[in-house]
Amino acid sequence: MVKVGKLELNIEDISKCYSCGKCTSVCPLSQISDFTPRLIAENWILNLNKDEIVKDVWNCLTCGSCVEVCPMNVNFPEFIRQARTEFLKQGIGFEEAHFGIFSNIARLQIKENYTGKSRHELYKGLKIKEKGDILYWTGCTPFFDIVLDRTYTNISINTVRILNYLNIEPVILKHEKCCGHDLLWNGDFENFKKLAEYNIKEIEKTGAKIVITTCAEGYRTLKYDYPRLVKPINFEVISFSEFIDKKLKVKELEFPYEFPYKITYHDPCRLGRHMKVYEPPRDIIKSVPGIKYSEMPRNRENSLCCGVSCWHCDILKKVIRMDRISEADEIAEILITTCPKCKIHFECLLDEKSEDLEKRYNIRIIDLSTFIAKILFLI
Amino acid sequence: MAFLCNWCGYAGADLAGVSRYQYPPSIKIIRVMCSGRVDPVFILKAFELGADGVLVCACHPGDCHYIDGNEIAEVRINKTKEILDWIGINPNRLRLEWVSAAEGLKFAKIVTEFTEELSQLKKIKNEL
Repeated sequence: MVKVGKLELNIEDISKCYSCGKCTSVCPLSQISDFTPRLIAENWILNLNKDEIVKDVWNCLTCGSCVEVCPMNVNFPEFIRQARTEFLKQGIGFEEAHFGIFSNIARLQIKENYTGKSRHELYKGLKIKEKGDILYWTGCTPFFDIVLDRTYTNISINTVRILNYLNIEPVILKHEKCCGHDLLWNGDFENFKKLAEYNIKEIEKTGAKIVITTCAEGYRTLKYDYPRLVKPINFEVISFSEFIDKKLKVKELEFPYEFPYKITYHDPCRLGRHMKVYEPPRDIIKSVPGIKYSEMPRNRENSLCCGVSCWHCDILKKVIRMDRISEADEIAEILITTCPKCKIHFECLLDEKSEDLEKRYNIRIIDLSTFIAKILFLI
Repeated sequence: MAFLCNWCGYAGADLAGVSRYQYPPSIKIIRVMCSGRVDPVFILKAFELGADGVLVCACHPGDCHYIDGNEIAEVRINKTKEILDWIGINPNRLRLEWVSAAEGLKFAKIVTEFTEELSQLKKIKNEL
């Protein structure tokens, strides 16, 4: 039991911290603001400055850079998650960007008899099934389309196209609910649990053995958080990049055409640092003939976060995004990522109609599955 | 739940009251300066908190006090209907109507109709 001001919380994990300050030296937010993970830990342990703790707990990117360098192996993002859960229980919340519409949508999906528009309608003209071994997890892309006025369903549709090209008919859940990632990281554990229980039940009904995701956050949530926090799962979750990488290694898939562009890859925090999937997407990109692949200075476990998680967006997070985009823009024409959220946040910056921004960046952001579909001339 | 724009919808409702047109006491009115202010998230929040239906009253096309606020509202309402469709709430629970300041009778009629239509659907709690 830890006491913060008047609050009493059930979190002890962070007490291992001995204030060396390594986390602050790598934290992307610390470099541009007065946010310091070390100070949060210190305040927390010594029970000081409650207001500052509350502000910083909601500001954290949960990117996990600090975990990589921590000599005591403090799992800082997990601590932040638990702290948020406790804070939310006591009515201390945070205002999300887009007026919190995505959490709203997620919460509206919590009901027993869930009947919405079937997700099969997204994949008209493609081969999909209702029962089978391989399931493709669509994720929130239909909602991103409506709210953000750009096409993110392309990611899902192209993935199914590629799977069809490999003679695989994926199972698509008709009524799939939100995986609950944002609710979980915003501290709404109760509702997350309800969503998770429904999703696990529905996936198990289809008899799927492998679940493929194209979303880094969905991957982490399904693979790591569901068994850990809700109940054990009897299916395997793999990311689309791992799946394609395996197919390339056994020569079931080859890229016949040249693609002579300068390309770089951005590691999403959830896929990279959280789940340690670094090489498969890189191997896929490198195996395309004629490609000029270069690595950004900060890559793999040192990769810079795209700047936003769980829709906590403000001017500081924009600075991080600009930093990352400039880094990519110097060495490449196309930036590939495996997380729709990273794509959203980068494109949000590129869409901004300020003159100096337009001059500065020529880079395009492409999702991995769209990239593969393009190389195979499927679109 | 009804979001009424200050210049037309709310004035229309006012007229309905002043002229003593009868309509069911089932609505809770929120006045906004313009129907374009009604963000999809307001509507979703209303449903989350248990509203059976949401009515948005705007000026007739071309009559908006702020030039094109009602057109923005139309786009937003259509978007919200799509979201509702995906998450399995009947899109008919959301309605956008053009009510001018002179149309007190029309406002009373719309509310009566909408209330009847909603009473035929189940309570929102059964859908949520």
